Amino acid sequence: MSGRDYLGEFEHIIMLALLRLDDRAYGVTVRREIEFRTKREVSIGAVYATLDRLETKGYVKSRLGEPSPERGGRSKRFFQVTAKGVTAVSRTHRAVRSMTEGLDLVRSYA
Amino acid sequence: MMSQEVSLPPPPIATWLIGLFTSDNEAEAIPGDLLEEFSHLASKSGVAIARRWYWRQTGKTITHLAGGAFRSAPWFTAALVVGGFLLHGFLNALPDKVLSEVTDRYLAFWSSHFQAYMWVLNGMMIAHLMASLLVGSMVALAAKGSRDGCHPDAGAGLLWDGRRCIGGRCIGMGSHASAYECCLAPMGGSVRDRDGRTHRPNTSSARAGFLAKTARTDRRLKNQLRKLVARARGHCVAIGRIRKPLAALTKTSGAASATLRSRRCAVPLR
Repeated sequence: MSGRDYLGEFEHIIMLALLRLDDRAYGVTVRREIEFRTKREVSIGAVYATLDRLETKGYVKSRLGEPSPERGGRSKRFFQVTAKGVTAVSRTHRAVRSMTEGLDLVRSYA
Repeated sequence: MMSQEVSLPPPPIATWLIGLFTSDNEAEAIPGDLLEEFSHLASKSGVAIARRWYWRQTGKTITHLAGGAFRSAPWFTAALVVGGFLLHGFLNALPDKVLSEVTDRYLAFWSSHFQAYMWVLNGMMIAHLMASLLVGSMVALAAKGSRDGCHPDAGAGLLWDGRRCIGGRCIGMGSHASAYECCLAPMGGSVRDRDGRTHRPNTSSARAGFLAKTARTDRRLKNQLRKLVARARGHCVAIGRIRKPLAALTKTSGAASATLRSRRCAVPLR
């Protein structure tokens, strides 16, 4: 298995946000979800750069929504995780779980 | 109580800067998302905070987009930056050269009109700034072009999955050469993929995003494109005038027809 099959930290976070948001996932909601859960400020540019990379890898796919007036007549770009993406998420998750197994992070290293 | 969404325009310079760096793929989504969040924040926390947030997001977004350009086309982007520096140096040297020529030639005049000389010196600073802006814009636009390609926003039935157009079945994208094959396929042609299979898309609606882009980037196809657009819509359209109507085509085909009908061609097809 090559190292490319694993997701980077921010890729992993974005994929989890997409899975949480399901069919409501577009730039604004993804950014808010990440900020709300990780308490870190994320830029729209970072979100789209990562989503584009994930789309190139085939982990997500996108479609355009209807244009809306509050967006100045611009469309939303909705993202959805593909089956290949779900596999990549669970593989990365397993790797992280396996690496943290047996470690008491709070007590030993705090 | 629900707060009412404020419909204020975001800082225009920031919006313009983002427009310089966003590729066609992102031209709808990123400014739209920023505007939506700006309106939400302005209604919740006030316009000043929203403006500050917008500028912060602009800075970070541009950094990421420029980084994306480096990742997708590193040599091209690096060459652009180096070329930009050289051009910047050349353009910035020009005003100084002109000033020294003028000063030497009309020395007696300047010595009796010192105030005017100072005014010209200040004008030089503006000229330097304008030259820097011009070069920066040129580099940004060229880098943006390097990231343009076939993308999912082109219209129904022709989707881009990152490597190929689904529907048009145009494989091996990333270059405009492939992009216009994708454009032409829905207009009645067919496209051969990397495996040698021929695909004939079953839709006849115009792929405006690609067409408009092709019109901007590829001179070889301009005439052919004009004819294709005219055949598709039953109207003759001057190539210089199709950009906006074609951009509208991406929204809905009905709106596009109306737009095209309202814009009769300035240069009839022969």
